[in-house]
Amino acid sequence: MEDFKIVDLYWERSERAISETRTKYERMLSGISYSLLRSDEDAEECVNDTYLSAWNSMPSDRPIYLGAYLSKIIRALSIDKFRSKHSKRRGGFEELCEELDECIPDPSSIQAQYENGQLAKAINRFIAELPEEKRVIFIRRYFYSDSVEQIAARMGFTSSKVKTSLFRMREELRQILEKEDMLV
Amino acid sequence: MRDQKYNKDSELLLEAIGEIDDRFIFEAESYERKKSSLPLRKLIIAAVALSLVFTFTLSLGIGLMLGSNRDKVDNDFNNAPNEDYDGADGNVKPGVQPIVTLSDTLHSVKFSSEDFSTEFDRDMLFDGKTKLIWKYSDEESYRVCTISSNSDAKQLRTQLESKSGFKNVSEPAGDSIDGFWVCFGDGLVYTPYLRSSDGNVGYGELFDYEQELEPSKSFATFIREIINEESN
Repeated sequence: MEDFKIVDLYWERSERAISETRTKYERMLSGISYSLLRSDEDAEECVNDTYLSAWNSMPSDRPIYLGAYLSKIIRALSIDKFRSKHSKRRGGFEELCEELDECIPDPSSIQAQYENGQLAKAINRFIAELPEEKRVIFIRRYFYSDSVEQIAARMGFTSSKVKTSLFRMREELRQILEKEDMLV
Repeated sequence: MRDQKYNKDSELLLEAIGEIDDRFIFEAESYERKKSSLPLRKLIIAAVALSLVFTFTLSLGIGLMLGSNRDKVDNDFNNAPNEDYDGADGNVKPGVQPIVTLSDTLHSVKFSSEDFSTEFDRDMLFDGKTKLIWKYSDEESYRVCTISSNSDAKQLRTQLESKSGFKNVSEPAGDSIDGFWVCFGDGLVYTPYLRSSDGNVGYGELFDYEQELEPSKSFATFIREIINEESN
């Protein structure tokens, strides 16, 4: 079913909205959550919470890209879940944070930028200026939490090309955040 | 407690990446790799050879080709009521049409009604680029922007072609918008109107419409968001 029809079902308060969402997006949502948490049980819980959150937010929200909308919800829920668990288990979340450490300027005002919304805007500008292939690699890695190997298979590249590309983009992002730092 | 090996700011960065524009996420979700069945070297050789042939052909036949094409465009518009158009001239103002990505700030260029109807409309119908064209009720000029993102263009076309997504709206969806068109650059123009008033009455002189549609609320919201970005 097309996204706008599913969204209409949410607006009509039809429970079929959930089943259609499950049919179309459950696999993708589970994948995002599992990549961050590395736990089937926790991922399943986050998926169910995502449906509940979507049910509560529509209306008033009317997303055009339902997949993106749900992905954002489950990503945020999974990050919260990871934090609340204080897990000793090494999850994808930690792995990604370690990589993103390279993007943090020294000294950093990321906290201030995050709080006033400048950080999200800077990242959006950075992503908008990337060529399409690079943009997809970046988003697959740091939004969807795909592994380098998964990205390589999806894009038809070698793993080393994906790693190199990510390394360069992290460096570019660090430079941009350094400039933003000066503006804060 | 877990043994944290990274800067706490990285967590904020990872969270902020969760705020990226939905259209980028959609693009990454729907991305399909371009498969190449030939080795890169062969492709490069073939491309160079083709460019040489193309350049040679172009240098011989460019005048004739342009003339034929202009005749074709003019013939396609034999029924168009705009009598001011000088088909033999065919000049388009250079650099007047910007390429933009919708997910960033959307820039537009205003055309006076006269510019729009006499020079730009027919060329923009067949230039292969997807465009939004609109006019506010309090302005004389039309606004236009070209969509450079393939996923945005694809999304627009999918929504417009699956007409089941369009329905009557019971309330005005965009008071400040007088007319609105989506042009796909292959001669096809969709004309959803964004309010429950007279729709396209009075605008039929611009294009030979393929469709006139009433948008669903979600589509109207989508378009309003795009246009609102322009005014911010």
